[in-house]
Amino acid sequence: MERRSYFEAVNLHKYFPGVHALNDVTITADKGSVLGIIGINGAGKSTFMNALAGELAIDSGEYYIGGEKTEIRNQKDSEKNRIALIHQEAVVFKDLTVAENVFIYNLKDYTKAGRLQYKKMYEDASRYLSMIGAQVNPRELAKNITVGEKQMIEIARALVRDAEIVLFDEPTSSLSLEEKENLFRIIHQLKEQQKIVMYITHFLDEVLKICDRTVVMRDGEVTGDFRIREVSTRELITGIAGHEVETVVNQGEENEGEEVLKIENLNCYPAVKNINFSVHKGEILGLWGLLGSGRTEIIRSIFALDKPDSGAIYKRNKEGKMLKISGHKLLEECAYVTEDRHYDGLFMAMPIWKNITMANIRNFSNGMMDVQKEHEYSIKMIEEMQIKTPDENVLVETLSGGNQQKVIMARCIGKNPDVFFIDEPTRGVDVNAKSFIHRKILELARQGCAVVMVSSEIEENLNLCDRVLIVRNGTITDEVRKTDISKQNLMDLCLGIKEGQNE
Amino acid sequence: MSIQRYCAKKKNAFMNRRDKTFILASLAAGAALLLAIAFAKPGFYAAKNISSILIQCSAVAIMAAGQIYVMVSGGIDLSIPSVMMLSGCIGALVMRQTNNILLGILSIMAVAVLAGLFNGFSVAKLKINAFVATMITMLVANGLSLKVTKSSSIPVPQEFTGLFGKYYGPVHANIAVMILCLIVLQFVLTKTGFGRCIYAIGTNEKSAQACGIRTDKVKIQVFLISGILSGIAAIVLTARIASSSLSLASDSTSLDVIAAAIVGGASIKGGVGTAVGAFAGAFIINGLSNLLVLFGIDYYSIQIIKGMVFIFITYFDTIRAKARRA
Repeated sequence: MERRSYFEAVNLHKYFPGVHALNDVTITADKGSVLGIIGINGAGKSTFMNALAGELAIDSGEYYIGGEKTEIRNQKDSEKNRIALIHQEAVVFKDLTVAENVFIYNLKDYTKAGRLQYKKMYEDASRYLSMIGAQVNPRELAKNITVGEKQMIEIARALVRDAEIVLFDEPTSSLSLEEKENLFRIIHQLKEQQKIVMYITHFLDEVLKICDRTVVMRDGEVTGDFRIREVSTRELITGIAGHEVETVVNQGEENEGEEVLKIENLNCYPAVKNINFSVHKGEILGLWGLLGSGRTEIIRSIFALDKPDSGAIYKRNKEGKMLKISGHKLLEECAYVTEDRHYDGLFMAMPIWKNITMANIRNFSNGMMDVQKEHEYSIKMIEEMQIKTPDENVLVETLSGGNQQKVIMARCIGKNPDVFFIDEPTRGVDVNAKSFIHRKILELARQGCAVVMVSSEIEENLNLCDRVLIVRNGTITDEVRKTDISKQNLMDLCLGIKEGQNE
Repeated sequence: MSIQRYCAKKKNAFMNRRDKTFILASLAAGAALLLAIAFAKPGFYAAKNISSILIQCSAVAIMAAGQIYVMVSGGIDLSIPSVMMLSGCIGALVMRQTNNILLGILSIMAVAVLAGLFNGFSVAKLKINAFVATMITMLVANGLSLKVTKSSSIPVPQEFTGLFGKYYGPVHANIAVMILCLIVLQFVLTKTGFGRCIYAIGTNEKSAQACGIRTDKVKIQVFLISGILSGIAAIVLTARIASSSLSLASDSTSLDVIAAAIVGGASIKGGVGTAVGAFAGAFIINGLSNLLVLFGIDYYSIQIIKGMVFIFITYFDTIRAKARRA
């Protein structure tokens, strides 16, 4: 049978325990084009990418590259087929120089008599980096460069390997606006060099902007294949979700509830400087700022997870009095959804039920843990949060991102808190889980909970918040009331455009 | 969805099974060892002898149970046997000076508690790596033991050996203390909220913190417990051999204790293990030593062979951890 496209993956199947991760997936791509691959978490797009990158082997199916049948069983095969994957979080060694990082796979080629030829390495590195227009000093240590520049290292690696097929796995999730523009420029450049670019993303606007064609995946299957010129956003969303998805918007009137939490003069060197704010009953307060502006650090120092240098916290107690409270005590009484569920959120190797009750052990113990009660409670929460799982004994690490996030939400809601801190409520979460979580947050606020939310997604701030505080360089620079919240406004304030400076 | 559910259930069952397989494998290895002893020396398993094996391994089992607490929380305590030795020696000296058993026991426990608190403070508050912190304690305890005993053996009073080193009916006091410790420790570890917190910290310390668990407090408590158990082990051991000296703990006792914990299901990486497992581990490790002695192998060769076996055991731990994650 004749092969029509330069790259063809035909009838791929991959089974994980419990999931048919790739179900008869056929994807083709032509030289000099950008192919988008979109879908919710667990749709199979990452599995597909990882299979191409040789990080996992498919169970059945065939690959054809340039008309030739080929095998991709491991990373060596993938390299041989000139495929390069740009990871979501760039894989760099932070104590090595940029040049060493660029040639990390080829250090052999730069070794003469057992010694690395740094001079040649620096020269070549700057040549490759300038090819993609990256302004990075190859002698700089990787820990001193920005996230975007780290990504440039990965792209440079792909160039070094002379990759034909370049895979991008959600490359923009932690980039600044400028870095994003630069990345799109590079992708365009790769396209002009007749490479094949495959681009995984959650963000539809990016697909519409840079891709020529896009494949939509759902539940391990390819459910759509569109030419970008001929498709509407609505069609894509419906394709991704399998049904129409509502956008959840906070339509409540601006109403000033009583103050429940007040932060005074909080300082935590060096990331948090002189923080003052208060949160009111039934309010959703956004902390909005760029990545690295100190949003997460503010929350961590409120809870004394990073020990603050100075400052006081007051919380309204049951009798209605505002009393001074320590960070640790506050953390016991409040709910806290952390930024990164893998790093400091979940207990991956533990079953769901233990995860759900972990923040609230005291409620389930009278000397002895009441395991029966824990199970019953977990089952109730699994139902309430619509967590998709066979039962409460499943290990959390086997759940999809959206369901994992729901487990953390369930744990926090179970504390019945009057203040709820949420850092990145929907990072790496599919559209269905996202709108569910949004609805839950609104519901919490409506029940009188004060919600403090940090989100990198501007829409989340627009749709949910009653009030937004702008965080810049570790301090709160502005306050935006509900009626004034707009995309332009938030963007300008967090960049500090009014003062004419950029971070 | 129903198929997916079925598969996910299967995966969990599969993983549990694999984990169990590994634990079974280690127990099987232990059983094989004991069989080997039986062949090497028929008559070894007379009822009296089993009881004497249990008595022999009681101190290591008690210390291993303390080690389990630390290891479940993701740490390690190298100082347990040295603290045991130091507290035993000081206790013996106090008893010799005052002829007061109660004072002796109190001083044993005081030394052990102080050492445990010191370890806990170094690890939880000063953020010193547990391996380094407890190694320092180990060296200090060894040095102090040498100083206070001047390398001599200090006999303990008859009343003391009579209390903790004798049979009560068919049961030896050592075994009774060991079983009591195991029951209490197993209960606290697996049934209480405190125990749950220890597992949480060992699984993911950052997550535990974010859940509002005071991880530094729990860590200090965990090291305190391992200290207390060093003290109990010191009481049991000095009472049995009727004296205290530098030979209470040998070079390899520290490894014996860690190996017992790992064979019993604990992991260097934290988050798993039970006190009862530590007991089984101690039994097996003790069996190994016995076997080697029975074959007439000299002390130094035994050290070499044990070293090899420990490498295998820790390697075993890594593959087990991998299986757990897969």
